[in-house]
Amino acid sequence: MLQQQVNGSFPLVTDIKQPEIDNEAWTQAFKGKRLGLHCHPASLVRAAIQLDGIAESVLLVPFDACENFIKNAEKKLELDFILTDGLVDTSYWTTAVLHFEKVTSVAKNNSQLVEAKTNWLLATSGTTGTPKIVAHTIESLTRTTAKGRRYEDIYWGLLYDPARFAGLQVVLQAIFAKARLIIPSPELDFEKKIEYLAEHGTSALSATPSLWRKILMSSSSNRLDLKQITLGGEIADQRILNSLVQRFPGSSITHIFASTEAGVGFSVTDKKAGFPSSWLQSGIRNVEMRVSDDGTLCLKNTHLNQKYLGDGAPIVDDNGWIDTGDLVEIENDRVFFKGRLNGAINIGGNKVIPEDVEAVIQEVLGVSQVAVRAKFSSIAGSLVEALVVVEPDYSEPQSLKKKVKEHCSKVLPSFKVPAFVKLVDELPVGSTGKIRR
Amino acid sequence: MSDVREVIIDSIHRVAEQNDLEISNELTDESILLQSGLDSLGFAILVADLEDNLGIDPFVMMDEPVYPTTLGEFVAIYEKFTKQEG
Repeated sequence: MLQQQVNGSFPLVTDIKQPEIDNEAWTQAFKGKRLGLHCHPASLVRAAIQLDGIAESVLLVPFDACENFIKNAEKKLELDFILTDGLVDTSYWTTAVLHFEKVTSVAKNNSQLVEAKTNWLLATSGTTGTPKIVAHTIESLTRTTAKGRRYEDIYWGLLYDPARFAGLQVVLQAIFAKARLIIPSPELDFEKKIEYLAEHGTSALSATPSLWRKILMSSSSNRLDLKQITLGGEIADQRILNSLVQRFPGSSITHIFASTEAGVGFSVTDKKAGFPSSWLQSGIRNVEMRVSDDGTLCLKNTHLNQKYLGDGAPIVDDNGWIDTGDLVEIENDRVFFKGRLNGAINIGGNKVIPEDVEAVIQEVLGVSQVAVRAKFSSIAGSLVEALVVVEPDYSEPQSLKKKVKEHCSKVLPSFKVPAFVKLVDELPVGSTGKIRR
Repeated sequence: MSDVREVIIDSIHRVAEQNDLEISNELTDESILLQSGLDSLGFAILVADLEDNLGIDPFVMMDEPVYPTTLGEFVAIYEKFTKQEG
């Protein structure tokens, strides 16, 4: 399907030498196979276009996937090969790793499969230590993508990893609109990435609200001439929308609500935070909506082709509704997002489960009780704050703050490390006896 | 040197120290914030830390927030809003 869309060639601008792909050899070698793609983002896009409709399934591996990710993926999935361009560390795979340019040497396989609907396997951003893997098809991923309209003069910049849901959305959007795609290498310094995007004429860009604040702080952002601005992955508040209107007057600004679980959700283009409450009755573009008894937004897609792999947990109820777990509130004619029902903290698009961090802090000697909660941040959306009750007979309570942070830094990624540690006499407990976050 | 500027510089060093970040060079008005050694998380922590110290968060107070590129611009934003509060 993607091959037909790009019609042989796809205009992709990047700062690495793009891999040679032998069409015939790839088709012969990979039809009906279960593959993993672990490579530079630009190579991943090239290879994905080649493999769609040929492979049975393709796991998209984040370029910086750690040992844990790889072990988890191999536990859940049976993979025939890992394909790479040699630009990332593939040493943790026990599956056979194959270099793009050596594919010619693979013997023809005997699969009879002629035309497959490739399953695209994406890891969720990980609400717990082990990310879930969700299977999509190109149809389910592009349900709301404008097809058939051509925007050859649009240059989409890619700041996300295309192996992640948000990044793949940008890639598919560019492919279906026949637009160009500009992919700076992920290891470039942020300022250099923006410079690269500006230099190559980027006119459309998608980022989280926190990343947009960072873009607005970079000195090269003045050189960006954007016509299309997309925000997703975090709650877009009115302030960041206003800042973008001011900096890029005349551009279209879209904030999207989407989760890997729900497939594509919906987008809002009126430059106002939240979405019109009338959509709860009318739905929008094949998505029906309602608010659950818990106050969370539930969606029902009319086209739904995705399922979890490996752990069998159903993601839709019997009637096809998906509970997004996102709390909403209706104010006047608007529905606003208010965070996660399960207390998960969203830091610039990265999700943190308070209980995960609490378990790590409990390991520190001298900690009696701990509660982790979100602290509002005008820059990153939220930051992690830990309230700690010290053991009564602990001798050096003042050094405990530092010890908690040090221990967390050792075992957790930096966005999960509490930005603030407060020593308290007791934890705030609600009337139900549960800790108030 | 204004008081606000001093509070900000102190806070930058404190946030860096508490979060294992290294402030690259001597900080001047021309220093580019994103290249000062604070990463984006560090910058978010700095703004929260300053709210505790100065009692204001200008990025909440502005209806159309302007995001600063240099330290000089950052200090100017805080000076402007501290005066308004005062």
